[in-house]
This record gives sequence, structure tokens and C-alpha cells, in this order.
Amino acid sequence: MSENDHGVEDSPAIETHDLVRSFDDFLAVDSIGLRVPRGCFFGFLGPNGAGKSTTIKMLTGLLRITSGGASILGHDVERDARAVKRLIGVVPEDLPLFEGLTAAENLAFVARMHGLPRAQIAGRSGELLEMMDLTAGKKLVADFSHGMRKKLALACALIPGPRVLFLDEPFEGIDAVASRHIRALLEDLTERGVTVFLTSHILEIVDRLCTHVAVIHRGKLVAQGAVAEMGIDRTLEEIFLDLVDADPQDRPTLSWLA
Amino acid sequence: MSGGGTVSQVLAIVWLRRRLLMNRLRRGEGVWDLVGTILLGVLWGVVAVGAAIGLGAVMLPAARAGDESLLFKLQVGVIAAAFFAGTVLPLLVEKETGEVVTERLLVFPLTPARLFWIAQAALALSVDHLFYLPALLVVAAAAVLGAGSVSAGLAVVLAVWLGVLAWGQAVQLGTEVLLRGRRSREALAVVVLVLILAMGMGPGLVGEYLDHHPLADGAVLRQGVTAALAVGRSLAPWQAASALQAARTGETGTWLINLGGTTLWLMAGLLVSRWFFLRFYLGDRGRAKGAGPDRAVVGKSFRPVEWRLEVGWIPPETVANAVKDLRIILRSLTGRMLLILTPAIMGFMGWSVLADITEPYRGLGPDQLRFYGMFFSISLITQGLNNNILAFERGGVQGYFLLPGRLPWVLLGKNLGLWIYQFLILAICLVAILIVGTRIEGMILVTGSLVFIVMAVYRALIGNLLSCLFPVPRTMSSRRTRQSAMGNLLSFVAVFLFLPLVWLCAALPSLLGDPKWGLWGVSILLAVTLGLYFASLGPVAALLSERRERILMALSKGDK
Repeated sequence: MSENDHGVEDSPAIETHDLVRSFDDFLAVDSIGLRVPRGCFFGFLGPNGAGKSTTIKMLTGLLRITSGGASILGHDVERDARAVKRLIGVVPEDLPLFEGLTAAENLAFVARMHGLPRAQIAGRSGELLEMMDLTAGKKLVADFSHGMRKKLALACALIPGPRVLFLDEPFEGIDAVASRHIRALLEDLTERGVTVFLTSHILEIVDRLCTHVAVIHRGKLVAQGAVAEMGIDRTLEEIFLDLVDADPQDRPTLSWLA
Repeated sequence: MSGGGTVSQVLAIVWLRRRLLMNRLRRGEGVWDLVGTILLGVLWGVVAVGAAIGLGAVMLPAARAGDESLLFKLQVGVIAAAFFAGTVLPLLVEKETGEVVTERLLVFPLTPARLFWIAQAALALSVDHLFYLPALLVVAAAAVLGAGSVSAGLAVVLAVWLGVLAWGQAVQLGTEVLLRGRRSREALAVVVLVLILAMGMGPGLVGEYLDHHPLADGAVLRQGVTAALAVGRSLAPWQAASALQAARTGETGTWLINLGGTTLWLMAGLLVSRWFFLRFYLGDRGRAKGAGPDRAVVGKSFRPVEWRLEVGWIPPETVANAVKDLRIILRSLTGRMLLILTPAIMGFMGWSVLADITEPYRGLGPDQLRFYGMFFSISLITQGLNNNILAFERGGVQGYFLLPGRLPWVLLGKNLGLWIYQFLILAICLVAILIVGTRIEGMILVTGSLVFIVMAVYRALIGNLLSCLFPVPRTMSSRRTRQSAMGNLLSFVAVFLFLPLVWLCAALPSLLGDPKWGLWGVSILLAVTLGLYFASLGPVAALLSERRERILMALSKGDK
């Protein structure tokens, strides 16, 4: 295991310092400082529009950082972008799939971009397709359902053998059986030292899987730490609603709707 | 759910399109596109009016001199050309239609019939279909010059114009259904349509050309010409030209019969078009994604071929992208259509139009003109694929920024895939023109192929740059897609600016008196172009990386 493959020893999996991203006058991410330990299952939570996806996009190189900095396994995400890309797997909000290819061809493309040898591509691709129940033969991604696309995107993120996995809403649109398989797979990965960084609106799943969480609200980090230390005798949902100033008793109605 | 009246629904659609455009402009996204659209519209307008003036310069004196035979031939020719431009050309040249809106309207309380008429109205007002209107008006003006009834002439023009519109949409939708390979009835209908339009109109025009020609004096050929004319005269261009002639001479009965014939063609076009429209939008498209058996089983025409491209010394990201892009293009509707129709059209041109070139022009001999003309035509036909090479990948384009592949080698791979595809078309076109009996001299073939390579490399160079600057989402599963108007305009300007240089190199043999000079000239130009291309990869990749946020944002949007 070389340092280049697995990052700078002893550095956290993900670390950000005063990370800022603005779009013209709008501050989407406001000076956040994250510290994600290696091998943990990290849940990144926040209401819609809080800045979760923007943060993931900055960490994975899809968005430029306005100010501050971020590193993954000790590599700066902007200065050392290529080394970072070798270490990570990403399932972003808009799935990075090629609709004119089959599932196997999408996997082969990603593996080739990572420079994997042909024998390894065939072996890993077969296992992933089997596990994700994507052995759809010649069916093109254009004909896939949303859930199938999501599973394929996850398979594409996994095929190079990443050390840090970024997942933006991985369980959205996935059936219960597949969701169970994916949860088991992700737990297995973290047991083997892979860091999983995920955003999800399904707090039950985050509660069940994550060892660490951070909550972002209106671009600012409002809480961060191990789940066990965040609140005694309270569910994650209660803690989350409290942190984002939401009233649990608030029940809006539409008088004109029958 | 309320029903809503037709007028309010149409107004809602007009409001939607205006709002989308205004919002894009407000965000500074669509300014260049709008400028490009206006410039292209002006350019098309100038060409259309220019062609009409040229046509008038020939037709009006013929009308004044009373040369009825020439006038009729020109009327048939122009109307047939309008049908060709409205039905076959759109299959080869990408164009904008209102498909995005049409598809989205399916969820609203609009009957399919109403939706069909809204789509027809949107098409009627597109630049493509307004393009040949001036020429048709000149044809009518020449017909009624001096004596005939203006309204009778205009009625014929209106019937022809709407007929072209209806048949154009019928052929396009039918071809899409055919190439999706899912419905045999539609496939059969398209084949019959193409047979009627091409097999009927082609011989009809040849018959018209050979009629009264000394060549047709032989008994056998005479019979052939008569039969071809009989077929041709039942078709819309002949019916319309006859109606115009009747409008000129004031024979109301004949005018009515022939206008009726033209209108019958229009009605038939509308019926066929409506049939395809309903099949296209309410047929397979409604099938839930992910449902149903494997596509390879359903679609007999779809067979992904397993092949590899393994070259050790080429960077893996280049190979991966070349293979990926070639696969996607060959499976796409655009790719398949160009692959099938380009050789068919080139074969037809090799047999008809190109065979007529017998005189040298500006340093190029007839053979050179024929083959360079063919190579250049293929270049222009595949031009659209170069200008927007990132856009058909939509979300997939994120892969270039998430994966560790080096961007210059990624771009090279994408260009390589497109070059292989273009050479495949060229090879099939060469076979097609050989089949129709055209002979190719070895030196011209070599020089011509080098010219094609020079053009391919140059267009890739320009296309890479434009793809970064003007990315617009494309749907490769449909012909009815759009490109950046400004990107298109700039790419054509760039190609036409480069053309004199290519022409000069190709004309060197006659300028310097030795056939080998052509080869040398084009080889030097190729070396320079390749040098520029490889020198451009780094800066264009840097631009791609620099503009990644705008590119990702542009390609993830549907409202265009």
C-alpha cells in the first residue's frame, strides 16, 4: 500500500478549513470546517438548499472553491486534484452515466479511466453487476429506471476500489431489497477502512448507519461529531429538527384542497 | 382537473416559451444563442431571398417570352426541390423543433389532435420551413405574370408549402420510429413513403429532363420517359406546376383539378404525419423506463457489437473515450441515420449531379471537383457532431472531472472516435459511388482522402473549442434536438474561412503543372493542421476545466 495510493498517513479522510463557495451574491457554503476520521461512516445532513451538494461538489472537484481549503487523505483537492480523483469514488446528485452505453460498458469506461488492467475490469465488473442485480445484458442505460441508474452509479463509484466514497442521496428511489444490499455493502466497506461520506434525507438510515454526522444549515456548519455524543435520549430526527430551527408541531394545510 | 379552452392553452404555451427565453437572458445564459439565432436567421433570409431573386432572373424572362416548356420544367424543379429540402435534408442536418415543449405538454389536458396541430403550427413558423417560401412565391409570380390570377397562384403555393411541411414531419417521425426498430408497421410505411417520394420523383425529373431531348428518340427510351413522366405527373410537384400553368392560362377547371390533386397530397401528408405523431408520442415513449424485456430482444435492429480497441502506446483515457464515443454515436439515431442516408445520397449524387461536372473550375479538374465536392459534403453533413461533442453525455460529462483521466487525452479520444466514424461513412460512400459506376483515379483518391483528413482534424480543433464555449444538451435518441445557434454559425464561418487554403493546395497540380504537387501541398497542410491541433489540446483542456461549472450547469438543464 503506497502513500500515493492511500494518501498521506495519519491525516483525516476529509478535512476542510473555512471552506467557502459563493454564487455571485449568494453564499452557498459559509466557512465550514469539517473533519472526517478515516474509516468512519459520515452523515452530512441539512435541509433542502442548505449547501450539502455544493460541499460535495467542491470536495470532488466539480465546483471550484471560492476560498478556504480542503484535503482528502492529506491531498489538497485543488492543487493535487488528480491524486484525489484516484482515491475517491463519487455518486453525485446528477448521476454521471452515459445513456448510450450498457451497464457493463459504463463500468468498463470508468475502470479504464482509472487505468485498471482488462482482467481486473472483467472480474470486478461481473461481481458488481451481480451484486447490484444489474445483469440486464444489452439494455442501454437510457432504458434504465431511476433505481437501476442509482445502483449503476454506485457500482461505477466502487469499481476502482476507492478509499473515500462520496454519496449524494444514495438511497433515493431505491427499492427496499436493493437498499438493504447497499447498506450491508457500505457497512462492509467501512469495516475494511473505506470512509463513506453521505448525504441523505432519510434520517432513519443515517441514524442506523452513521458513526459520525455533521449538520449544515443555510451554508453554516451547526453541529459535528460522533452520533453517540450528539444527544442522549433523543432521536437523530429530533436533534436535526432542533438544529435547523424547524417546529415539529408545524402542520401546514391548504383550505381549498378537498 | 379542469379542461381549459384551446386559446388559453395555446396562450399558456406561448407565455411559457417567452418566459423561458426571458429568464435565460436575464441570467445571461442565452444571449449568445439569441445573437447566433438572429444572425443565422438573417443569413438564411439573405440566402433564401438571393436564391429567389436568381430564380426570378431566369423565370420571369421565360414567362414574358412565353417559353411554357422551360417555365413548366422550372416550376416542377423548384417545387420538387422544396419537397426534397423539406423532407430529406432535415434528416441529415440537425434542426431545432418544439419537441421539448411537445413532450412536456403530454401531461396536460390537451387532446392528441390538438397537440398535433400545435406542433404543426410551431414547425410552420420555423426558419427551415420559411426558407423556401420566397422561391415558391417567385414561381407563382412567374406563373401569373401579366395575365393569370394572383389568388389562384397563391392558393397553389399555400398548398405546396403546407404539403412540404406535412410530408417533412411524416418522413422525419417515420424514420425515427423506423430506426428505433420497434414497430414493423411504421417501418413498412416509411419504406413505402421513401419509395413514393424518391423513386417516383427521381425518375419523373429525369423523364422531364429527357422529354424532347434527342437522346430520347429511340423507341425503348421513349417508352421509359413516357412511363417516368406518367409516374411523376401524379406527384405533388407536377400537380402543383400544372395548377400554376392553368392559373396562368385561366383554365379554371384544370386549375381546380390540379389544385385538388396537390391538396390531396397535402391531406395525405397530414394524415400520415398525424399517424406517426400519435405513434411517436403516445406509443413506445409512454413505456415505463426499466420495464419490459431486454431492449436487444425487443428491438431487433439493436445489437451492441462487442469489440475492443487496445493499443498499448495510446493513453488509456484516450482509448476509453474513443471506444465509448464510437459506441454511442453508432447506437444513436443521429449516427445511424447519417451512416445510412449519407452513402445513399452520395450514391444518387454520384449518379446524377456529380456526373454532370465535365468542365474544370478554378484550377480543379472535373474528377477533383467531383470527389472533393463529395468529401466536403460529407464533412458538412457530419459537422453538427463536432460542434457539441460534450453535450450528448448530459450527466456523464461529470465523469471527465470526477475521474483521474487527463483532459487533453480525453479530448483526443473523443475526436478519435468521431474520426473513425467519419471515415466509416467516407468508406461506405466511396463504395456507393463505385457501385453506381463512377471511376476514381488513384492520385485523386489519395489526395482527396488527405483533404478529408485535413478537414476532419481542423473541424475537430474548432469543434473542441466551440464545445467548451457553447454546450447545449442534446438527445442522441432523437433527431429533433438542438445545438447552440452561435456555435453552429461560428463553426461554419471557421470552415468556410479555411476552405480557400484547402482549395489552393488541391489546385497546386494545375498551377505548377505536376499532379504530385497536389499531394505535397495537402500533406504539408495536414502536417500544419495536425501541429495546430495537438498544440491546441492543452489550452482547450484548460478551458474545459476552467469552464466546468458552466458546462455542467448548461448540460444538466432541460429548459432550452
